[in-house]
Amino acid sequence: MTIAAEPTRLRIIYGVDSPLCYTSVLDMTRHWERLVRRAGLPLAYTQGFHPQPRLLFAAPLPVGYRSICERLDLFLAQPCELQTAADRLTPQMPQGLAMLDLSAVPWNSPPLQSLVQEATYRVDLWGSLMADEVRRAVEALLERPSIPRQRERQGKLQQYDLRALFSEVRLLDAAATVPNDRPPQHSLLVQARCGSQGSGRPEELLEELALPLAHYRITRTSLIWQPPSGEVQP
Amino acid sequence: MVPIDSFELERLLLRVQKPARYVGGEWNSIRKDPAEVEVTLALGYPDVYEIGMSNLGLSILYDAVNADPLLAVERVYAPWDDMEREMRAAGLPLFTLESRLPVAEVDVFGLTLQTELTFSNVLNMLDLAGLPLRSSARDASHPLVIVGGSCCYNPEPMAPFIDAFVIGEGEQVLVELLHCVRRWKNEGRTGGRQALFRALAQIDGVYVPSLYDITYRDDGTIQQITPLGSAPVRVVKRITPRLAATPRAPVVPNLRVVHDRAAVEIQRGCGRGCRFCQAGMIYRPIRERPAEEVIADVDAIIANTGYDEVGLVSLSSSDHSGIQEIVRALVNRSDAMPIAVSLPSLRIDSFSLELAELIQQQRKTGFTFAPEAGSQRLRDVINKGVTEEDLLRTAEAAFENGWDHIKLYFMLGLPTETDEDAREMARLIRTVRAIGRRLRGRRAEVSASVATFVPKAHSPFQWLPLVSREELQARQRVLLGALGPGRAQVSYSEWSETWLEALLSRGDRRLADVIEAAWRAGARFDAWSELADVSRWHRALEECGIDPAFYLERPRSRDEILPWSTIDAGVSDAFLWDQWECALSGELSPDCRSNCHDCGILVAFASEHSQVDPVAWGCPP
Repeated sequence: MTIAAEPTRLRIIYGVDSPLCYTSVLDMTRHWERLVRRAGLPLAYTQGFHPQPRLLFAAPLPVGYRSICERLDLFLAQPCELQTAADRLTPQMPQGLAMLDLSAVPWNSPPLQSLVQEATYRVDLWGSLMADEVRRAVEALLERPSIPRQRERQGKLQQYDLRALFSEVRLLDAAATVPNDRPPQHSLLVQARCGSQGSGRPEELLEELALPLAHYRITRTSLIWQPPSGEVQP
Repeated sequence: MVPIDSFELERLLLRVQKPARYVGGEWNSIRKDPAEVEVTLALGYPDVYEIGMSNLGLSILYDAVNADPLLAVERVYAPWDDMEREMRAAGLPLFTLESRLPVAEVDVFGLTLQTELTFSNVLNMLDLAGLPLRSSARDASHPLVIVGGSCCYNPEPMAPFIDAFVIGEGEQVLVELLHCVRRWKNEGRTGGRQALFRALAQIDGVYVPSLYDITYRDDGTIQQITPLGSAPVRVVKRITPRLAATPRAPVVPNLRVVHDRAAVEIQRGCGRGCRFCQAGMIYRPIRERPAEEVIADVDAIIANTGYDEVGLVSLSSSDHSGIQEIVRALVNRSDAMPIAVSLPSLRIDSFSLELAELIQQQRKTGFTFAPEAGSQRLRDVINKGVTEEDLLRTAEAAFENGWDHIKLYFMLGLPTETDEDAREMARLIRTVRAIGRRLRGRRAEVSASVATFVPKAHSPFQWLPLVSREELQARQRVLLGALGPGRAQVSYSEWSETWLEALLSRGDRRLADVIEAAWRAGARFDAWSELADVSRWHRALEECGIDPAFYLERPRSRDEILPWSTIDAGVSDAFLWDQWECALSGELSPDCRSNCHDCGILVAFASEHSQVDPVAWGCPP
């Protein structure tokens, strides 16, 4: 007896670096569609008047952010061996995208987006700053009971409390080593809410810290899932 | 060659919109080590990335130059004003996308001029690169500055800024030009830039403006154009006897661009001979890409890029002899990945409607017609070759076959036009609307886009003035009045853009001062309403003491030396004048593939013609 195999839903963990870290979410979708087509894998399409390829991101990455933990589910129209998928997709990854892991999940698994709760970021800082100076600024910020700010969204000003979006901000003992001809002086670890209930953006935190920075770089380092699955390491 | 400081660039990228415009590294982009080649070309478009990356011509040149192991090409586009401010504040010069080389350090800096409204951006890019604006102020340490593209058919307004213009099709001549630079460089730049200029002027299709001396009469018209040394009296455009190979692995943009799809040029040139149309004159002769080659090109591009849409590029898609075969093959691709086909420039006939049916089986967006003029009399003047009967029959068939929206393209300001022509335009729109109502009820939508006609160099109307603003506005009022209330949306082109386009396309070398003054006053991105401000141009004209009426409002006589008369598009002045006379008498000149009108192209390109099958160009034997 043969059982018709279920079409494959691929779960991909990938990294984002320059130049594609400068690409918007919408454009990132197009890059994935195109690389899957180049790989010769048949994407499944949504039904309806305007069929769209079925791919779901866990959490959109803001323009300018790098990442080592992006997750994406790709729905294929046919069953596909994992090894075949990996062998075909990897050579089609453009500069700035890195394949980190690939697995298959049941077709009807819940969407990743509904499971993301928080994310961690590493924020690399350039500028002539003493570590103590950074630490004190961070401590002072965390002591504030609330940090009222406003954002413009679709032409409307929204009030929100920035403090409530961050669960951890900490100066790392040593600055990260990053591919850059000028290494950063310091790196922060930031844990912030991420998802439909609002996202904490590390650059807004930097604005509040008001440190005299020459430059900064934000890298998403992990996604934290709703209980009970807990933190998933990339 | 030392690249720009990438750390500095990364800093700026956090502060601008759409930073992906400035980073390069795209799929299929080619990065050669500049130290491994002998000549590096920075090639680009004087507008933003999304416009520049949509230009098929640049993609062809990117392939043609990179195919040569001695040459490298790197792309460069105009930074949007936010990035410009950041670059200027940080002292970061204009740089190429592939290796981030400062443009000032490459050997040749080349831009394509597709619209006059990018002229101010050319100056801005020269300045951002740190180069002196004027050719006469640059020396052998600076890159050679060249331009190509359709605006070069009147090179004069930009002449003082540019070292050399490439006239016509660049695929071969650009490579020849780069090798000429290579030899000069390898010989220690002997004789300086003057020696290089003289060598360049010997290449067919290269116009070196500094080698021409121009004198003027008291009335402002040109008295004489004198070539210096051995520069040719007239520079004949270059053509390729056969269409060059399609770029099969084009660069896939980092962000959504205007034409975000595969592109295959299926035909160059057009035999319809519309008298208002510069493209129809300057892109002669007609050359078709065989259907099987087009289909193979599309398959290869889709495989190399992952695009799901292809644009079949030509001046008149439905005139390709194998178009039906091509479209059928593309919509019935056997593999699992369907592609959309876009087919611009369809004719108004039932055959075109069938093609549109084929490519819009799933979604019927809008059907576009270009009657161009409202009355039969005026359509005959411009040699449009379409009758009202054709038009109404096609509109009826389109509504019957499920289209709800018909878009009509017209022009106002055409030669011999009167108020009656505007009333006829209104009547035509109303008739199409009534057909839509009858067949599709309230869902039927008819819109009209009414551009203003600009008489262009090397067309049969090149001697004519631009319509005056007063006359145009009066005619627009007649049109609107005659349309009456109802569901027809009419949009007009901006007068200020038309005016500037006409001024810059009909001017001579003396306008260069105006371009520079306008740029100094802040002019750039003149095609972008959010950044354009035509008052800068009005002030620049005043400052330079130049009356625009001289260029815009004055009919030019048959024997006047036109500013662009140094350029030879292969179509003879006698033919153009004859076509103007036919226009005046309303005499039609049918499609030249069936009936040669002796335009001159076979005489100008006899040697190229002898390299191909005698019927390959669509010229009758």
